[in-house]
Amino acid sequence: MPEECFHLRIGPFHARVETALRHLSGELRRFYPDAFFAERPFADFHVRIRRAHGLRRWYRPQAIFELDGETPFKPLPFGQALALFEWGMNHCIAGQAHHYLIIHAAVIERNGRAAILPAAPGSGKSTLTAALVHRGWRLLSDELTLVRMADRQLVPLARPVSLKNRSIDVIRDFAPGAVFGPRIDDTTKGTIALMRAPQASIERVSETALPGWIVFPQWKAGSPASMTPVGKADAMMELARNATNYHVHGADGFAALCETVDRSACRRFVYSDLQDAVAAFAALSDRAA
Amino acid sequence: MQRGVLTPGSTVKPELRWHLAETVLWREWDGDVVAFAGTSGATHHFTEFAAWLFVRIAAAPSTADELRAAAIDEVDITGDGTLDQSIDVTLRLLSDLLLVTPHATAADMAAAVAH
Repeated sequence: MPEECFHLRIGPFHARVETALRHLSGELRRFYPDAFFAERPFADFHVRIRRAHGLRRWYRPQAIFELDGETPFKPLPFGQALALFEWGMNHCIAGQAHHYLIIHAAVIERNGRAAILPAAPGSGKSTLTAALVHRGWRLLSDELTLVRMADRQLVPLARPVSLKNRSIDVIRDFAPGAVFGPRIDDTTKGTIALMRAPQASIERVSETALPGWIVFPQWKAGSPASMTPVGKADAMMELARNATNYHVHGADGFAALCETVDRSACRRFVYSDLQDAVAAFAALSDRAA
Repeated sequence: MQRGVLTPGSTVKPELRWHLAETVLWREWDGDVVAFAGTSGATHHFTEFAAWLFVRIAAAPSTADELRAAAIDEVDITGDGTLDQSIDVTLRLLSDLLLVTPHATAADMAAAVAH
């Protein structure tokens, strides 16, 4: 099957993507509806998603992610090609985009101020993010917060939100208008499904934002929504631990994180109910307005 | 100017004047200090006495005796052996983390001999 080649704009990046996997190119058109453009002479990332060769072409077929001709990951089952693309793009950005300080955190914006949500896996960050962006907040990113080193602006990506296991149905119920891709079973993270960024977030992907809050979320069964202050020094250290390329930037990275913390009210947020969480974040934003 | 050297087990030499190492960046928030050591690339967080001592050295290079006097005066700590030990341990920690370095000036050495 001949390969299709297209150019995707993903936030500030241009990815040249080649694939013969028709189902993948179809899904990418669903999740990046305004991001396809005509061929350009330059791309930030040269990506290819292809079928594995040999026996794996037919028996339990696999998909392979290539970046600049190299294969950074093991192959994944053919049905996980979309997830493979998203994980691959995380790898591309985190591994190469060092003109940004990159923090493993979600980032959302409302009324001109952004909330950075650093969180460990299993904390409920993505579920919370998916809910909030359907209740008045703009999605900049679910996974990677990009701090532009030149001016400390937070740069959007507006990529799909990856939801896992029970949270898929939780968000389907919470936001019936949300656009989902197919369930992808048996991944290393269990069953996942990608939720497209809301259209308003996609349309504003060129709008940067400055931080107003750093919020450390933690889902805890049965817990009422609770927003408590965090010392800025503690917040700084947690941000540094979550900054994937902090070691690359050295003193400049330290300065950038300090400025980010200086601008931000720092909170720890524990919750169990999404409606309560939405109300708590709305109150946070309204107080600052 | 003689550069002092810390040896394991020794107390801090009184003639040593401690100052922030080159390429150290730091920020203080509500009495806590976060410091970046350019030499190692590591970032550290200090609270309470260690933070106070770091800020004191950042403001003005100081000997252990000067830090002791300031601690008694500013922090209302009694000047017993525990304070000396705390200063000693903290200076050694900050030195090990490449955040502070000691120098011994001729004047400091003369003052140490006079005492």
